[in-house]
Amino acid sequence: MSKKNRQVTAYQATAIIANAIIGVALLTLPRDLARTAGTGGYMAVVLMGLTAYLGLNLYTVLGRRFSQSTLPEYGVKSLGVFFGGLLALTYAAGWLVVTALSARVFAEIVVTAVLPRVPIEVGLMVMLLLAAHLATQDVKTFARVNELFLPIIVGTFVVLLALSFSRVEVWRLLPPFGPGLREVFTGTIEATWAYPGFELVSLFIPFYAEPEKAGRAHARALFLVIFLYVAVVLAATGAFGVAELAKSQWPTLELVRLVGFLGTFERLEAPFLAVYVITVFTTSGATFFGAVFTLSGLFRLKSREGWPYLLVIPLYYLAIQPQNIVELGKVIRVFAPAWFGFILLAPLLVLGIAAIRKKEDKPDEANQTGA
Amino acid sequence: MKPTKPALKTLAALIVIIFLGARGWTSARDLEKRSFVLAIGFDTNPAGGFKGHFHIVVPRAVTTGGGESGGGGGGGGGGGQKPVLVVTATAPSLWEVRQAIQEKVNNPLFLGHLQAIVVGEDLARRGIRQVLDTMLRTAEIRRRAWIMVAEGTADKVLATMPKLEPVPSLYLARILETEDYLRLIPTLRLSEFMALDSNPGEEPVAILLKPEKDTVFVSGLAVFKGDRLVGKLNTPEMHHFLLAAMGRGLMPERVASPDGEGELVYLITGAKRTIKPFVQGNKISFSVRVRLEGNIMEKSAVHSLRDEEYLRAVEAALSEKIQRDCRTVLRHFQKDFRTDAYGFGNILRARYPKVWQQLDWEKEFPDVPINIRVEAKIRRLGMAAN
Repeated sequence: MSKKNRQVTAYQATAIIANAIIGVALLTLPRDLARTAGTGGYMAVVLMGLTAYLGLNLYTVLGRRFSQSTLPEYGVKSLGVFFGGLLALTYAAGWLVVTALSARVFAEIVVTAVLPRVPIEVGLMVMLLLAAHLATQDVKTFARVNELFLPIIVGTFVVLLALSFSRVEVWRLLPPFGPGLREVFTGTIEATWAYPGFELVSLFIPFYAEPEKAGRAHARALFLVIFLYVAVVLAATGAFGVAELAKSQWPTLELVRLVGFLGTFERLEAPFLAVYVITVFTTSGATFFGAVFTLSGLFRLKSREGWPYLLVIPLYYLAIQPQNIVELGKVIRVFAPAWFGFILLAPLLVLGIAAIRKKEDKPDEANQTGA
Repeated sequence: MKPTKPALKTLAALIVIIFLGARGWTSARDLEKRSFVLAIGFDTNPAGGFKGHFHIVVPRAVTTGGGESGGGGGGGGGGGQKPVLVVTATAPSLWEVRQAIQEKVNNPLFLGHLQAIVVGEDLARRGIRQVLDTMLRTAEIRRRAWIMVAEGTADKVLATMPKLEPVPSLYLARILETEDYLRLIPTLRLSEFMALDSNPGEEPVAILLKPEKDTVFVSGLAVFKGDRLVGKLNTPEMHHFLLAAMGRGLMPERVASPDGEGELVYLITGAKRTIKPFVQGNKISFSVRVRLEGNIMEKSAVHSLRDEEYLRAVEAALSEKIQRDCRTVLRHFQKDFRTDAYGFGNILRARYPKVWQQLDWEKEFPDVPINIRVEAKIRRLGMAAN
């Protein structure tokens, strides 16, 4: 790919990462953590958040080293065409799986809690088509969409969480370290589903208008996410208690259904779910975008207009595979840690080999890189 | 080619929308084509299974009924039609009850506005795990609905048509909201009840309702062990339980004047309760401190309250009386009900997780020494000066 238009602002970068990370896991996170780490769940969230922050910094460092290339490009540059291409394909495949799973979880919620008579296929298809639509846009549009949605998402969740903190019974949050450190570490495995998404920055760094601000923009996004997750986990644990939380399928939704405002506003799940649709859209849209972007870069496709819609068909069949909600949970529990491990280790590998082979983008190369 | 692309996309989107619309927006349903259920009651069926009673709104009667009670004084005979219909069915399981009731109603039942769940005493004694489980599974049901236990059977409570509120189900929810507002009872909605039932070291309580001819009133508290009713408290006992357990239950206290002449009525305006667990070796104990604030709002005693010594004597008498009553109720819980609705176990779990893990709390609780200390302070004397 040739010269990149440097048009993504620092705020847009923050929005892209935060929106890509906050997704379907928000609704199940408190339960998964309560089941494994008990009252120490929030610690697992923080631990995993810091791990994700490390990973994010790896991508930032890589982005600095290869200041003109996106992930598939510098993969090829440092690992060679075959292994670099394989790496890029693995990323694309992973993002497609995340898209499919997100859409499926979303459709499950819609069918269970909101529109019981709508077939799950419709919910699934709508979300996948929306994601595909976002995936066909260019970087500028994608960044703007995220810029627009971030305050809506964060604002709504912060207000709803503030309201639900009135239901918190402090004793239920104790003991602060949960049943033990081993349980907290088990909890971190459950939290692996909540953090992927930050790896998408590897595609956007070369488009940054102010690359020197990348580090701060990334940190801001991740700490925003950690803050939101910790707040959700604490609010849900404090309101329900660990044992009750472990019984709930969509604990965050239950939490929102619990609160009212001034005694007049009830049923806050309506605005919550409306914003939740956006949240899932920005997540599955971002991963879909990442996959399409990577594939088009890898196969030197000039257009990203029509063919991404074709990907919806295999994705649909992938997403519909789990036969029931229990199996869906199991698939996620197997996929998430593996995927999280991959997106942490892959940049380390690329960085190591690039350092050994002394590969990097020199600033004066700006006008001659690419095909 | 280029300018037509957006047009094509719009066209495709339109076709999809029209196609889906033609199949019917399957989850959408007009308001007037729904049967709103505002309260449900469950009893045991003598022949086995459940007896369910659904309060179903009769839309026209609600609107005219409301106007009538506003305008004409007579009420009762005029409208004729009751604003809610109580539909009853029996079946072995709760969803079969719902199905049976659905078959007796023209429109699909809608439980999204459910205000109150009333459980009959018999069923509560048998255990309500199944009821709670269904409530948790059904997305339609609000977690903010009130759950209460009827003295006797639930159908009697649901059959009462209180005069003050056109819709009796709303009346049920409203009395509990009022009492919550007055800080007489804790906020014991469905979600809280379920949480108390699930979490170890906490046991649920629920409001007891008693039907009378034209009204329903709070007659005390139903005490649960897990999902099973194990005992009942009357109103003063409920008051003393709630003071020590949650810092709620603000009710007037009457005490004899320390100088032997007349009585004073103390209105509690604020209650703070702290529980401290103590663990020494394998000995567990708790100390509960209840600090009350309030005003003297009625007195037949002659002695002036401007006399500080006398004031202090009244405070001491009040503290002693309330403390004695709180301890009596606690003994009920430890020795008779053997259930920890105070949540002592939860506090022990929070503070001493290691001790808690090696403990069979259900066995320990009845014999754990718990000391309740009450300090009542008189802050004001109302608008009077003596």
